[in-house]
Amino acid sequence: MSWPPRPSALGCSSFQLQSDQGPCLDCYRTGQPVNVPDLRHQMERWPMFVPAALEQGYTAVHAVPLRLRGEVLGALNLFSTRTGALSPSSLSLARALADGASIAILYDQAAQRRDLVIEQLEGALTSRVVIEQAKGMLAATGDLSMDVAFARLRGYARRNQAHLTAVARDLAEGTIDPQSVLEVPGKPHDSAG
Amino acid sequence: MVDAATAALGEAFLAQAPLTGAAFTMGASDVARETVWASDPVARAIAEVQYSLGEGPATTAVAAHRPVLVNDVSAPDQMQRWPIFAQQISELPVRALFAFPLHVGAATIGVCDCYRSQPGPPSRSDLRMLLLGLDRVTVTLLTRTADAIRGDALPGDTHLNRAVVHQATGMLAVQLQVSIPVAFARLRAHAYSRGEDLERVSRGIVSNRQVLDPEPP
Repeated sequence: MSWPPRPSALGCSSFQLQSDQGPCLDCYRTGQPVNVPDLRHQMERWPMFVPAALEQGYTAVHAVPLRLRGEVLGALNLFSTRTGALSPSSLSLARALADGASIAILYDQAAQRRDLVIEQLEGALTSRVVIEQAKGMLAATGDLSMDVAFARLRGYARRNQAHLTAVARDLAEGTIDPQSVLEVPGKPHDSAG
Repeated sequence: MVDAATAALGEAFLAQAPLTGAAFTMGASDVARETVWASDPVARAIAEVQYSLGEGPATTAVAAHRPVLVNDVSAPDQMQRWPIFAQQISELPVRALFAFPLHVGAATIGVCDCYRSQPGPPSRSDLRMLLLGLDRVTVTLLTRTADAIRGDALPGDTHLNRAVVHQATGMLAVQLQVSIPVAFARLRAHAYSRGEDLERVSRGIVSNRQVLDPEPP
């Protein structure tokens, strides 16, 4: 939830996630900044988080929401070993950092979506090729038309509760025998799918 | 074969581009590649011949992740890399050939074949215009792909252009008792040795049940 300036700060942040409590999660849930100038007074509010943070030497925590318009993307945690409120200039710096982090997170999400589409495109092109290859294999094996070969392929996939593409790939890679796909149990001459 | 939106995208690109014609092919693999739009039969032939042979400027552009510019196809040194391709397109009214990979970040999602009926390199501003235009094409094709995948149809067509090639590959694999990659290589070799394109030879195999010799000639 925050970039860790020190390993112990990462520990405190992940501890909040594990224990499902802490200023960062409150900030994320409410979308409002959470300022804790002295952690020692908040033992009742976060009974698991406060002792863990104090153990790491932190006495104050400030959490600033990472937001895009109305949506809260996350929260930026600032841990301090000194008690006291953030100065106005530190607070505005924290907001600027939070905005920068929000933009970076959004770009990263956009890039991940794009990579997914590229992967899907490759998958779609390849699976269509493999299905046509499998149709050809079945057509040659059983002396069938391409339409009938496709119906047999689909029928086999349904009977075995397998994906059409997975069966086609197994055929194309030689891991299943075309003859076994063509055998229709109980209906040796059925060509409908 | 080509849907209206992809055709409109291609026409808009060509209108801004200092080219005689162009073709878009999606997919970066040697086998799973689909030409989704071509401005004219010459542009389509340039894409198809490369698919038939597995060589040419677009194939090189995809493999090398960079544009390939052939400023004069009749200059002896420029086409040496693709001797068979050079011979097969020699009859076409093509004097300059440019191939641009369609990039998204580090990924190549396809390639654009471009040609001119006059020789000569693209100017600096031509090149800028082409690259900008192709960025728009790439983003649009990718966005439409995202929409289309849900409907199981890719931009360009509702069915696979080269379905018959893959069907013939599958048939040959069974008839010759070889793997799919070997069957595809045999199909290409057979088409090349007869001087025919891959699709025509494939259609012969699928519809006439033509059988190739078990051993390559």
